[in-house]
Amino acid sequence: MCVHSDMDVSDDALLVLYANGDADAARNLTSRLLPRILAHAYRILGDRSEAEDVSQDAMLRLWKIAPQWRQGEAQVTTWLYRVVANLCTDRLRRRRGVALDQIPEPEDDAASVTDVMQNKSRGDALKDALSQLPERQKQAVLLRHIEGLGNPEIAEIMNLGVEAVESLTARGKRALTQILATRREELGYSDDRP
Amino acid sequence: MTDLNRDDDVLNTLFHELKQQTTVIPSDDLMARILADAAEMQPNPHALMASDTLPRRPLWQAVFAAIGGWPAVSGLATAGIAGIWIGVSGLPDSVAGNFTALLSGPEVYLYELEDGLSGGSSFEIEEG
Repeated sequence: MCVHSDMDVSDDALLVLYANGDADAARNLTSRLLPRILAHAYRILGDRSEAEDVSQDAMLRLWKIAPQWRQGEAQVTTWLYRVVANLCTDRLRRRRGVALDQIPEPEDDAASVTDVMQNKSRGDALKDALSQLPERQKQAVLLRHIEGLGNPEIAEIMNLGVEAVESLTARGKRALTQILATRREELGYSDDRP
Repeated sequence: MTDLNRDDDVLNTLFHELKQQTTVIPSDDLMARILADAAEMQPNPHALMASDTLPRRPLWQAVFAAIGGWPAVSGLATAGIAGIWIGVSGLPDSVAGNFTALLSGPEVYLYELEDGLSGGSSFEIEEG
């Protein structure tokens, strides 16, 4: 059994272990970090194959930077989210002009058919609404409300001040509310409204 | 205010649902590709170990290297010889002559010592 498989070993300690030649550190780091960045890339790009490419590219950059990584200076997750955000932005710029309805739907094998239909409708509504936001607003909203990150970390990821992040997420939420207001009934949220 | 709270509730519910819906489990193939990259990029542990176990150099070699190696040592030697030459050539002729004689031959002179070594007698030894 590997000593550093415990969850209390920090990400950057694992990265330093990897750089020192530890064979298990890469597997542990990948198991920890990949699901998060893959899901985030998928939410931004809406395409699993592209999200996988972005995630692999981001992890490759992490392996490359590992020997120069200075423990305690930055969080590995923050650094990775920033790389993913930049890679996604590049891809979105490249594919500008592609109709949003060509983006494939996510797969969900676990839920029942009824749940899938209901959730899909709501999820689609939110995805449609998110896709109408400016790119930076969308990223800030996703990082804050889906990834659950704090504003200081988002500020670091997006290379912004904390106040700018607060402003972006607040404007993003207001815009989402306005966009979704037209679909309130369809989503089943208007019945008890005064 | 109630409307705002309700809007927030609706949005939070939608965020939660979207998160559930878009949770992605990495495929085995992706994991394998990433781990292959990691193995390829990982610094060679054997190389690291080899550099850790290299024998330490002796102190004199460390000092020798620290002052600049052979070029620095030859410079120091030249400066030392030049210093001796300048010092000798600057002495008065008599002293310089005696000094030169001391350096140049096997003859050793012990001149009269005024308050000699034994009972005030003076002596002179000359060897040649």
